[in-house]
Amino acid sequence: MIQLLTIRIDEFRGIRELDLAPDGKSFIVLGPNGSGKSGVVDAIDFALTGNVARLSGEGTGGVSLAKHGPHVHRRDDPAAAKVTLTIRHPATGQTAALTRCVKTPDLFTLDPETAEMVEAVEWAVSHPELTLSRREVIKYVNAEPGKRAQEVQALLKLDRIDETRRLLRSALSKISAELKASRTSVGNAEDAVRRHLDLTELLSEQMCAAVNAHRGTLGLELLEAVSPDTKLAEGVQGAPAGGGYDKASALRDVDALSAYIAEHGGLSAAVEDLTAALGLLEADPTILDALKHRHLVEVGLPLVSEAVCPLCDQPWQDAGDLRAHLEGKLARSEVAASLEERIKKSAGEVVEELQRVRGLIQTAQPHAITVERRGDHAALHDWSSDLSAFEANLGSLETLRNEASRLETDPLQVPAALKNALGELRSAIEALLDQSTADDARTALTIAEERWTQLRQARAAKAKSTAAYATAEAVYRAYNEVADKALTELYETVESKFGDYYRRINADDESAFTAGLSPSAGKLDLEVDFYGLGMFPPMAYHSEGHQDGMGVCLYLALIDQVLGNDFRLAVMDDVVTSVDTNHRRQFCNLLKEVFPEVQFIITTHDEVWARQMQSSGLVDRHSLARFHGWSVDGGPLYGSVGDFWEKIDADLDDDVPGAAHKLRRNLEASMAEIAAGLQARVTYRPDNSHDLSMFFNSVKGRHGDLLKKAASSASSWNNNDAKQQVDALKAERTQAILAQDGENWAINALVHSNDWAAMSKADFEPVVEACKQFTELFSCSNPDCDSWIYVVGMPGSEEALRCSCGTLNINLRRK
Amino acid sequence: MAGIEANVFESFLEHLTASGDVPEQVTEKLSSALAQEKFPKADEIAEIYREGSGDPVA
Repeated sequence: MIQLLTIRIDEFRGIRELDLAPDGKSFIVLGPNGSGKSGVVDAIDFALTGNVARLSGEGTGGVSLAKHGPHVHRRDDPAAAKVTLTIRHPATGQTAALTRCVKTPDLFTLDPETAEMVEAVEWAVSHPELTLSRREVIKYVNAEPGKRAQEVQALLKLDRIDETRRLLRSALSKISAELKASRTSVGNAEDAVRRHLDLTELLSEQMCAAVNAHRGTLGLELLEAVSPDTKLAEGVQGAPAGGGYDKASALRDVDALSAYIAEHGGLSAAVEDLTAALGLLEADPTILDALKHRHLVEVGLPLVSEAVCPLCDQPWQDAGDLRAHLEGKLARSEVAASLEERIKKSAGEVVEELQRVRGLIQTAQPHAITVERRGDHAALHDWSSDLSAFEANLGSLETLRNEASRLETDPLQVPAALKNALGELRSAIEALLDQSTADDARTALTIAEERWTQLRQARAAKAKSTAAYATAEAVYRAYNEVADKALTELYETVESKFGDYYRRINADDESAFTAGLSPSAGKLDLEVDFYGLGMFPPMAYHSEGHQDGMGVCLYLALIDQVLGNDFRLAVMDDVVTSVDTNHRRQFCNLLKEVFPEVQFIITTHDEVWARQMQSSGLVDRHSLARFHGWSVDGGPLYGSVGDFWEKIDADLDDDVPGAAHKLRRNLEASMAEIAAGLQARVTYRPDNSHDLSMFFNSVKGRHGDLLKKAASSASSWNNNDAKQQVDALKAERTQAILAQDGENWAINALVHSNDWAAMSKADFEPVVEACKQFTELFSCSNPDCDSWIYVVGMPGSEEALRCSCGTLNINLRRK
Repeated sequence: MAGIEANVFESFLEHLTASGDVPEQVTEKLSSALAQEKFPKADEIAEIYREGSGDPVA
């Protein structure tokens, strides 16, 4: 947690040199567009995080902190651009000066550097969301669900939850693929054992009979049962030696391979389906195009936040059109995605068949060596390698398409040399001299043992893969359960707070407002109630102003959830531009009542909004910096409320026009605030362009009327103290008005023709004094009191004239 | 890790331990791998599953 006491900005963005003193309280930076307000926000953002959100991320191509952080006149001198914040750590009360320089944005200095303050700054670095612009506010409301999920998860620091979910899913897929491969290996190994022993089933009884036939021949102990661990050839080593060869088994191996080559219905069916699916893909280039771009569109769609394509920077007339275009692409690619799935499935079946034929080649291959047909052995080996490469190419859509021709013509591609060679190999095996019965038995048992071992290993590997899959599946399921539960609870809380905040702002017309946040598969749907007529996306029927309100409320609900008691600072850059006047007053109340401990730094170009923040008590009278304009060479033209009389005095010595300018600007602002507080009548101007001439007489007259009411009230209650207090105020008023009247010739020059700027110091000094005396009529006598005096009660039934500290509290009601 | 992520992670490990569906060794290694600031690769997680599940293959 952190709060700001002072802000010092040097040569940063549009600011040459600026000092502000929020003093840990909420603070307004007020000024017209282009007066440098956002530069203050950028400076705070930079000092706290080492980054400027507006200069990074999407839509900021070619702009960077290093190049564009320093003032344009110091663009080659990043060392000159620096920001110093005096920060306070509310939990410990410690303060320190935090300084960061654009040249070394990742480094910061703290004076004094204590462990708590270092920790506080590091905490701020990880919370860039403390600084918020309207662009960021609206993204929580109007973003597409996928993008909203990303934004909200990033704000809530939940990115890792989704990353973990994807990681565990990916690991599960890998283990699943291994399990499938291990099942194929077991099938191949079982085939090899069955073929060798000439069995149809690998039942223990059948296995025993086949193996015991050979063991009996060798006089070995007969097996009672066969289990996976049974040593089928146990004792063979001790039996009479011989260079044995199991001719019958070898012939079965070669025959099995020949039979597969002659008839491979399973492969043909799988290939037929695969080629048909590939045909569909090739026939319509748009499908392939959709597939190629699908992933890209999936990534790009959530990033659309303005009328520029986030993928190629192509400008669009409207962000909605761009979004609709991408959504159309995604919908069209759904068909493509379904076709891709079919292709992958068929390719998987072809691969299984290829693994099967390679298993057959593997068992036939050694027999070619036995009969010294090394050429056949090499041909079988090469064929197996070719099939293996073919199999690998079926693993991805891109490489698979390159194999389309082979799939259509001859997927097996039996080498020409082998076509007759297998028959010759069979003849050569047949031609071998018959072995002795003992040799037959020994060879048969040795091969049986070998293949039984391979089967045992394949089964063990499969069992291992099955166990690993069970583990992976249980882990993935557990994570989903836990994460979904936590996220559901979290979103329910956020949803409830969001609804509550929004209802507070819109109590007049949407007091029954509700919102629904629904997380699903990486998306976050947001629907809101529309006057009890149903739940709709925020953009569906609500006005832009309402959407702005929702954005801020959702942001506050989210950040309150994330930071809890650590939420002590928020910097808001013109975030409620579109919210209407009445709702902004409610927004002030929301901030003041729900977040009393939070320091809000709020920029705005809107005088009315600034006054509302002050009159509601969200921001006190001195916590305002007024930017009158901006120049490249000087930065913001700036005046703060508290010191503007001192600044005018300072200007009087050598810059009367400057003093005159400040006086007029500040009087306009002060008179507007005083008029609002006293409920003085001012001619309504829809563009809010009320000037000094409109305020002077109105405020003066209203003040006089209120003092008359106060005197009348005091008399009716026979309250002598109150009478004396009112008399004293009347005397002050008389003096101030006399002084003002004395300078009327000059004041009129200001009011009507803005001629003060041409006066000398001698002429202008009494004007300043008269104006100061006049404005003091509306201040409390307590120098620590920040507020202008104000009326309690409605016009016509005024109850009291007060100041915020209570020093002034005059009854206006008659007995 | 902080806040909700840390809570989810902790509950996840508790859930794994309590369920008995996942070998202890896997839970321990996952705990260590997923707590690293740099995320592990899916292959590393798969290897944890392989090593810790079922009987060793001779």
